[in-house]
Amino acid sequence: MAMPRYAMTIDLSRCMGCRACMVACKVENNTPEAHFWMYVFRFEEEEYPKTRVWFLPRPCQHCDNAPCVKVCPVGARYKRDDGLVLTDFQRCIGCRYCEVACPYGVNYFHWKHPDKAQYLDYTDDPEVKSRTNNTMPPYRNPDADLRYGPEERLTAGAHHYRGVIGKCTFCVHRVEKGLEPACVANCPVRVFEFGDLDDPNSIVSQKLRTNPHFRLLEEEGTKPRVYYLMGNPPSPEVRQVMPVKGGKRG
Amino acid sequence: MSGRAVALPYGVGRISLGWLALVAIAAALVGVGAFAYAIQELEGPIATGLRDWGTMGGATWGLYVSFIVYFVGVSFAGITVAALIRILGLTYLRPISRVAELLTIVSLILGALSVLADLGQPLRGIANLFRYARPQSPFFGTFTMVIAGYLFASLVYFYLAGRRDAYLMAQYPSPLRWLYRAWAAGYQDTPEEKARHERISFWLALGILPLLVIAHSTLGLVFGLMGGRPGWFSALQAPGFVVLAGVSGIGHIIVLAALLRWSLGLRDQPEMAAFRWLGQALLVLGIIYIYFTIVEMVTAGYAGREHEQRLAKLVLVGYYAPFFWTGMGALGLAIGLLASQALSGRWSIPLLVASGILANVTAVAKRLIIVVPSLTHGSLLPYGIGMYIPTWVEGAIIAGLMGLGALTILLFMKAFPIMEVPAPVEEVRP
Amino acid sequence: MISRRAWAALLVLTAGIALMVVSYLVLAAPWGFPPESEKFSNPRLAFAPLLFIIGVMIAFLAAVVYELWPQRGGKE
Repeated sequence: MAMPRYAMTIDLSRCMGCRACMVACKVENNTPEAHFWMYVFRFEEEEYPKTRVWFLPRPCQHCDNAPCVKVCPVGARYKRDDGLVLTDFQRCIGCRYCEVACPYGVNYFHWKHPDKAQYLDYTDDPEVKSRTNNTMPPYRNPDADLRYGPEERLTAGAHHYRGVIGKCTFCVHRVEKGLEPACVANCPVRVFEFGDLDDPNSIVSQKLRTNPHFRLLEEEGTKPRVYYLMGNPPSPEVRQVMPVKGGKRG
Repeated sequence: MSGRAVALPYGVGRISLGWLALVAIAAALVGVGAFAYAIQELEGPIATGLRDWGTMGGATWGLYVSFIVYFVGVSFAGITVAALIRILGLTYLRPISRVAELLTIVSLILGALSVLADLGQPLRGIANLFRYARPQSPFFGTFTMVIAGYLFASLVYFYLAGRRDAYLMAQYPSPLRWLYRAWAAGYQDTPEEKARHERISFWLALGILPLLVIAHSTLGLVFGLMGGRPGWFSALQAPGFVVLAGVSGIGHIIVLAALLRWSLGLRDQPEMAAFRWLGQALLVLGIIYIYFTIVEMVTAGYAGREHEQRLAKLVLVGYYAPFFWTGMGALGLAIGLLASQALSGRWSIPLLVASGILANVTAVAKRLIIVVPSLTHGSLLPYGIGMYIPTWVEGAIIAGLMGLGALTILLFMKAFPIMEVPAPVEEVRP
Repeated sequence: MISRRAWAALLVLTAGIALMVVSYLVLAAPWGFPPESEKFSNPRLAFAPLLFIIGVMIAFLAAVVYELWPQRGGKE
């Protein structure tokens, strides 16, 4: 069976900036505080009365010519044959070269152990339990502890180690099971589609055939696998509004 | 066991109050640095002021990486001077050859330790770099060529060059006689051996020089190949790193040589000719570096992309301007001092020392200017601007490393002659 | 007439350079631009970079061999 060539399309005409995809990604991957593997820009352009507000979801672009893969000194950041760019958490030495090399800013370094930087406690808190019907949020995703790919590498979830780097994995643990990434599955207005570019009947191939599209920072030569439909790249005059409070907490 | 005490050359074995004071200061710095490193190991990299760029608004690389580049840069001049002595036959520079080689070795070790301070998983870093390092990554060159190859080559050079003095020192009773004998390894100072050493040193120097250029260029390429980082992506990074390495290294050697001459009470060793040569070399390299900087700024300002223009403005007249102009001003002042001495033909050691110190101020400032602004203000996507304020942990670790370097040199000076011993060693009553 | 010590040094130098070349080109992670698959992230032989470094060290040890080779007339 031929290797799929995964890609994602993002329909900018549908995105309303609700950021449900950011929350879904967080819950699915248990990313710690201030880590936004999926991030949605809220942009504002022009001046009143011609102000235009629009939104740009920014997952990892899983580039075909990924600068992060090229520079990783130990091959912890690597590109799979199906196109996913993943990080081997056991090999990563925490040099952060991938983070400075990436033009898109999708990398998040574990400055603290992720278990110490969650929004809620993993441990038993009776007050929380009483309000959540005895389930303990955030639900630690057990899929993250499994190994994926023909090389059996530890690549899913944001749970592992202090001093390593993490980023959007296109939910490799879901894709391996035949599911869509969490952001795709949870978007209320179906902004995202995910599928095989080599399959002419896949939804992404169809979307690309029927819609004008662009890729972010295409001039950098990174050959991203994320295609934005129905819109234009952010111009230099665009202003970001309502950024997240990433802050110094880390 | 001889009854007559011998004053070994260049203060070896003689502990003075001034030396003890310096050792105490250096050891205190090392202690503070070690404590800070323990804190960093306990708390994690969160103890630094570094943060992710982008949504988190920080700088991912900061003080540690700047000083990695700085320390490796300083190491450049040491072995280069030693090599040039051989290749160009600059015999008046020979007295400073050993301290220059020692500077190379010590600052390479400090560079390696700075890398370990910066890595999120330092122990894994050591294991995995040896096991998995990829040639496609610029870090491969930095890791293998700089830290392993360059350091080892300098150690070999240092060892071979020291055999003669080890042999001379082994003639006299001292607590370290076993060390001198081991180092000399059968050297008898025959004319044949001396000729052989001259020959092999020439070839060794010739072999080390390309290694140097590769090492510093790969370090420059770590930054220069980053297409997505405005301010970094430039063909001038690699040569610029080589030149600035020379500036900082030669500046360091001038200061060290002057310190030795003063502290050991030597009237004319090293000779003024040696200082003059170093001053001239620093002058030329400094002028070349100003030239590189001008070309870089003009290119970015005239036709750089939006983000490069913004960064150039930031560095020249914006938030980072004080750092940039302090650095370039220091270099300008150093060039002025050196040029005035060159033109008048009268060289003075205090002015040379001042130039050397200023050159190192430039190197530190410029390394920081290279690393940080592109991370805080150079994102291609419209994230907000970031900020980087190093914490005391980072400063303490760097200070501790410098203390370690100073301590190593101070301890070495008392165990082995810091300059070549003129034969024969005279027996002197203390 | 090349002396024994020169031969020894040259041999060591060649061995060092050979090890460097082989470990860099053959044993380390394969070059591929762009790195499109997992195979570009792994060395073909584990610890190939260590072998490369050892090659560099051996090459420079040739100088030590040259100088420390026992004198003519001495036992090897």
